[in-house]
Amino acid sequence: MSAIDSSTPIRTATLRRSGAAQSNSLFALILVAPCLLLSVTVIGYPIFDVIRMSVFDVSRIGIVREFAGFGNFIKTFSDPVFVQACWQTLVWTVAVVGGTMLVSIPIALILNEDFYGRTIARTIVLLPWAISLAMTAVVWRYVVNGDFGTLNMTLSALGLPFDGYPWLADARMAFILEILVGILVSVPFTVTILLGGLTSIPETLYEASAIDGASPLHSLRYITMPLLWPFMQIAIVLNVIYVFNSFPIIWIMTNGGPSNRTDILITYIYKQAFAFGKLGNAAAGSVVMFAMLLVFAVIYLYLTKARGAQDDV
Amino acid sequence: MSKARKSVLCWVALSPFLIIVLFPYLTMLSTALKQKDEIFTFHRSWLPREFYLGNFVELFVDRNFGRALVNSLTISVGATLLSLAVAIPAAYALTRMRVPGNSALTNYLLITQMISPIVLIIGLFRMFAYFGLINSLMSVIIAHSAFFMAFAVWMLRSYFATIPKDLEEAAWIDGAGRFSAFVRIFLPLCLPGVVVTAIFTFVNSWNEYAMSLTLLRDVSQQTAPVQIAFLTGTLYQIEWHLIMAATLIASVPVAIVFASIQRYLIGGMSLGGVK
Amino acid sequence: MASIDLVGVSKQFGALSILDDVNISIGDREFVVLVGPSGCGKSTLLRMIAGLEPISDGTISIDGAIVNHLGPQKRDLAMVFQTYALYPHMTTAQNIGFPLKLRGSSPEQIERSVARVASTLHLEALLDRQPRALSGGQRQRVAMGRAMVREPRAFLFDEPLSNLDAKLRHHMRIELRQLHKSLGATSIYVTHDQIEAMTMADRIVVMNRGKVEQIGTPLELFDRPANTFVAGFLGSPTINFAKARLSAGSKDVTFEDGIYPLALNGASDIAAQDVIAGVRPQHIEIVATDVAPLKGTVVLVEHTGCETNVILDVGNSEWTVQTLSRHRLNQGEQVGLKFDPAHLHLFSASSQERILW
Repeated sequence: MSAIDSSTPIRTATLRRSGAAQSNSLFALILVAPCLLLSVTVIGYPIFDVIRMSVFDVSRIGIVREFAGFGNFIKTFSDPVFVQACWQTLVWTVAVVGGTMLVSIPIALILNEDFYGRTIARTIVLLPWAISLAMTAVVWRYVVNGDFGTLNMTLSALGLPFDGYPWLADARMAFILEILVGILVSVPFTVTILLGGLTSIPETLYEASAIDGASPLHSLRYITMPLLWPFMQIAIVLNVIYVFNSFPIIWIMTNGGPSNRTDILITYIYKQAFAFGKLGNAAAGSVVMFAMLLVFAVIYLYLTKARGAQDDV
Repeated sequence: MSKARKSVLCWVALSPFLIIVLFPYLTMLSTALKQKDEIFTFHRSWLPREFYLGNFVELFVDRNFGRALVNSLTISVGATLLSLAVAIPAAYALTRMRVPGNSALTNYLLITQMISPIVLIIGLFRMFAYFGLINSLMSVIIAHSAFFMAFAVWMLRSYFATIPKDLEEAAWIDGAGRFSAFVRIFLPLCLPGVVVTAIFTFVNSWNEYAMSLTLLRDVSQQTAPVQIAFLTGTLYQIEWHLIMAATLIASVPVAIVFASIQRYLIGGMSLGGVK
Repeated sequence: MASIDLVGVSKQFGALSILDDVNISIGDREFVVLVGPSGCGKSTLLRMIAGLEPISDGTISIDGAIVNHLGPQKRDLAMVFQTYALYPHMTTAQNIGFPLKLRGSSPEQIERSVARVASTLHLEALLDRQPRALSGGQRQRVAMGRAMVREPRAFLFDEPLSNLDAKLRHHMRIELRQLHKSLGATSIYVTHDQIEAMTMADRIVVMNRGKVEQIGTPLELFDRPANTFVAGFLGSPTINFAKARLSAGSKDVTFEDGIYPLALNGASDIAAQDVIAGVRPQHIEIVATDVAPLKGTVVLVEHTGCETNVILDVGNSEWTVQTLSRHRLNQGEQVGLKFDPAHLHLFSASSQERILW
């Protein structure tokens, strides 16, 4: 007994300490809990429900009937409109993200320079971010309106033969315009990330390279671009995620038309669910999109982790 | 190169993009101030004949657009308050305490931030339908909070991390309890960050389209962006003069608020949103 | 005011041991300096005393009562942080008055106490300023004021002067010391600066790698360092070391490479062994080669104005000699070195511990 007795004070101290640590962790968990609860209910449950619907036969009004295995997926994949929408999604995503990067990099470089009125220029560049995609789409739909739009009005005034030209009637032209609007609304976010990256490059590096004999072009090539690359990667991945999912521009400007030629996956799914009542198909499409999103998310996590690890060194 | 010359070059280089950005605004302004017959003629110009404010009157009096604005405002304020109420404690715990499973939790939040609600829209619709919340502003408040909260946590975390831990420790030693130190020392110092996050959440919620479109089916419950888009789709002859007036009202105040925080966004995004 | 006792205090962070079995007893009104290189655990130890860091093992008691499980709010200690940790949104007066406000003192009482502290620290003119409008030295004083205002049981200082420039640091050192004299407050002061430790402490605790190397008054530590670490840590320029052999009965010391033996008039029963010999730069005299048992080759001469530092090759070691006379010496010149054997420190080559002879 005496051996046990002698160890008692230490042991109670240990117990009490771990008790305190536990209550601290418990308190931290309580602080995190509401956030987690909200997220798991409102995001987690629909994920589960969509996955469930994708493998069951679901009636028009949403009653889940018998297990359908991959039936919904097979039906969806064999729908030519779905296949077409997939291709158009690819074109849409690549064109918008690529175009956004091409436009954003020079804009960010310019906005990082010190010039008169820079704050105003920055504000204007970021302006599209402040406006609802839905409203941007509405306004652009009016701007390119063949009969009354301000674009044709301006082009005509400049003497160009565009009076009454129906921009959105031709699927190819409509899709190009939607891509341009997509680029326009993605630039502000991208410029913000790139500016964050540019401001993190210390001025002394440029001073050092100038002393080493580098021209401004050399500095751009050998200092700015390599140091900006991690930010560009992140901007690309995040833009892919956002653009891939972007719904309002296409939905409002053309509603996927004419004849589904501007449909992308997300508008296809929305129509399946809310116009045609094919919930099973819509769920299968959603699961496909969700899986692709997860892949992008993992790439993003990998990129940020790699960068974090670099920063730690 | 002199700064003046450089400035000219910079503005010239930026001008194509700036024009494209401003073009829709000019369109909005020009159209909203025109009378209906002026839009549908062949000899149109940028400048209206007179500054006609009748479109705004018609919008509020005949079209009940005020209702849509109130709906939008209710949802945005509600979603901002709810998401901050859950995000502030979570962000505090994640920056200041050892939360079990911290990295799993941050990764989870990061991923939810990337999931577009539209992918899950069927599931969301069915869930809120189950609770009888379709056509209730509450459903959109909850949905917006859930989807915008992760970003709020993210931004708050980056602001919270800039507040030296020393300050709270000093307060503890001075005799303040954990809560007292949080309220008297921590909160006043991170107030700017909280305000920026709140504005950002507000703007996101104000502008959101897909969830509001899907969860609020009744015209009386529609938000401003949904109603504006709705106006373009249903009428035989689209009343662009009214639509542009509505767009102007729904976007300009928000754009001004947003512009006021853009300076903080560049810092905040690179601190927290990206890293 | 209070006494503070640390018994067997340890701190592990996972498998990493940060502090190992620290035992320090600090008397009432004593000014104790914890000194050591960065990462030695001194700041962690101070934070454990403050209650900011959990204790893995052992006990910390204040006035005989164990405080291990008391939060920092309840220990009634005051702390001055390295960063000062002034509340940026409060004025000087509000910063100083904050601890009293938390204790529910009346506004008049707070104002009186703040005024008293402000006059002691010459802060009267700065009471309405916010920290960002104060200079480094002023901020330091406000942090002091906030610590003093409630007459705590003890003061904890975490490198409070390290953010000040050299001149101000010297000035604040004197001011702090005078303040301690007048307040008579138990103080624990953490620094990595040995001059601060030597000049301010009643007693110094030298720490290294989470362990206490030696505790004693500044002069005890300087004159009789317990091991090579303490010997090397205190004193500037650093003490000179050389490998040597101590003969049986500690009769003499033979330096490596056939350098001449040095007769000691020791008479003890210490066995012959390999030792590390240490002599402080100030205790060596440069003499003609023929009258000195030890020789060195001049590498460099540094004139600091008052003193002259001569850097020499002695056997395989580099030694520094500090003198007040301005020797005219050339690089490569051979000189003789002489010192009083009383100033020779011997440490066991195996344990690095001091050998008493």
